Parts: sequence; structure tokens; C-alpha cells
Amino acid sequence: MSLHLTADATTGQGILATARFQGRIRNYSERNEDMEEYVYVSGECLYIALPKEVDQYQTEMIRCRADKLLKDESVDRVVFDFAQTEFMDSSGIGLIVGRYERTVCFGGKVWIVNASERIKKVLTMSGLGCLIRPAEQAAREDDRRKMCRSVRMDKGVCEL
Amino acid sequence: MKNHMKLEFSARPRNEAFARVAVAAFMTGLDPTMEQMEDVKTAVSEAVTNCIIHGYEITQENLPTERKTEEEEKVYLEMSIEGDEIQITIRDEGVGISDIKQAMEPLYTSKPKLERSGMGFAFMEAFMDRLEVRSVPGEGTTVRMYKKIAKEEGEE
Repeated sequence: MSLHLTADATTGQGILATARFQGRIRNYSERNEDMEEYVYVSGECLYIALPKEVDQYQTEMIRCRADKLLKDESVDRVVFDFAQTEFMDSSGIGLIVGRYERTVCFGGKVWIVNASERIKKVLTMSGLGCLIRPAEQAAREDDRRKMCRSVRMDKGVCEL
Repeated sequence: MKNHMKLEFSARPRNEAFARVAVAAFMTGLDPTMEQMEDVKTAVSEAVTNCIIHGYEITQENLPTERKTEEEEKVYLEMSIEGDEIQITIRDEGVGISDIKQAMEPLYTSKPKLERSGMGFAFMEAFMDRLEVRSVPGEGTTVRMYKKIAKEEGEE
């Protein structure tokens, strides 16, 4: 059993995110009005743009929407995009592992993109660190850019 | 420097963010690094979340609008600064923990349905210098955390 996570490049970062969320810093609100825009299915992939702060309050709302999509759209790949995220506690770990468990029986994959140093630290501390692929070391800058772009173009499906 | 503050707020998931910001604002006087600040915020977030979802068993989907009045469920946060050490005490008057040792084991969670990762106490221990947990079943839980905010050479 393995969890596929991509530790993403700092230089290439943002290609994914900026186009979509330019200038917007947000947390999700209870009314869920942003949810459709930030948690959606594209191709074979469920794309989750995580909010500024990932805590229990936020993950409950994300989980609700994400699981509805996983069930209704029968996708088995999940991309967690941390481009906007400045804070994450263990609730975020629960969210990632939970989605992994939900998709793995169908051969699904889970990706993490655009994680900052802080987010990587939290992932590492929770034991997911060894599962983060050392993308930065492995990839040259050009490749990293390509990788980010391919996540976008191929709807989240990319292998390093 | 000696400084102290005390907060009391409703046990609601949305207040997790408030507690983090309040603690971060209070410790700015110590001139912490971003890293230290984030460490403390993470630990506080874990402790407050525990009070709300374990102590009072309140989640966003299960807000006790009618079950109880808001006054009854509070999270108490106290923070003091002495020299370069901060001390944060977070307390609830909820169900309490019967087996603290088990609760503190990494990956153990009593609420797998809520997808709690079981990393709460582990995070508190890892991000702070010292952690004390006291709990009486039926009366509540108190978590006290300490961290030294000392300047380190060569930090950004």
C-alpha cells in the first residue's frame, strides 16, 4: 500500500493556482457558495483547492462536497492543491488519508501539489513525509514547470 | 517580560481560527519567528479542536442549537508569557478522557468517523516543548503546553 504524493516545486508553483484564484485569499464559508468553484471534477480527477486555513471547521465542509463528487462522478484520482494554504493542522491529514482510503480500493491515486515548506513539515511529521516524492531533487526546473502544467492540462493526472 | 491573558469562547468549530489568531497576536511581543508562530498556532488548533469535537462532541453538522444553550459549552484559553517562555492552558468542561495514555498514542482516535487522524496530541507534543494533560471523566480536560521562544542564531 502506498500513497502517491507529489511534493511540488516552489519555482513552478502557482501555474496551477494563480490563473484560477488570482488575488483571492479565502476560507470557505458555511453557505458553501465557493465550494462548487474550488472542489470540482475535471476529467477523471477530483480537484480540491484547499482554503487558506485547513482545520476541522474547513475540512468538514470540504469532505462533504468531495465525497458527494467521488460517489456521483466515480472518479478515483484526487488532487489536493495547497497553493492558497498557509495553515494546516491534523485535520488536513485526516482529510487526505480519508480520501485516499476511499479511492484506493478502485486503484485510485492521491496527489498533493503546491505545498509550501510549512505544509510539507506538517505532512512529514504525520508520517506522510516518506511518501512525498522528492520532486524538487529529481526534477529540473523546466520539468517542474512542465509537471505543474501537465497537472492542469491533463486534468490532474500526472506521474513523475 | 511578564504578560497574561484569558479567553472564553463558545465551543464551535468556527472558533478554532479565532483561538489561533488570538494566541498568535498575543505572542508577537516576543518577536517569534514565523516557524515558531506557526508551531504554536498548530498546537493550539489541535487542543481547541479536541475540546470542541471530543470534549463537547460538537461538529459543524451537529451544532447544538436546541440541545443546549450556547452558554453551557465553552472553551477556556489562558496564556502567559514569562521571560521567553510561553505557557498555554486550554480547558473544556466536556466528557473528559478515561484513558489519557491511549488518547495520546499517535494514530489512536476515538472518532474515526470524523476522520480524525489521531495526530492531535502528537502534534501538540511535537510543536511545543512540553505538554501536560489532565482529565476527569465527566468533568473535563485541561491541556497545558509550554514553549520557549528563544532567539536562535542564523534563523530567518
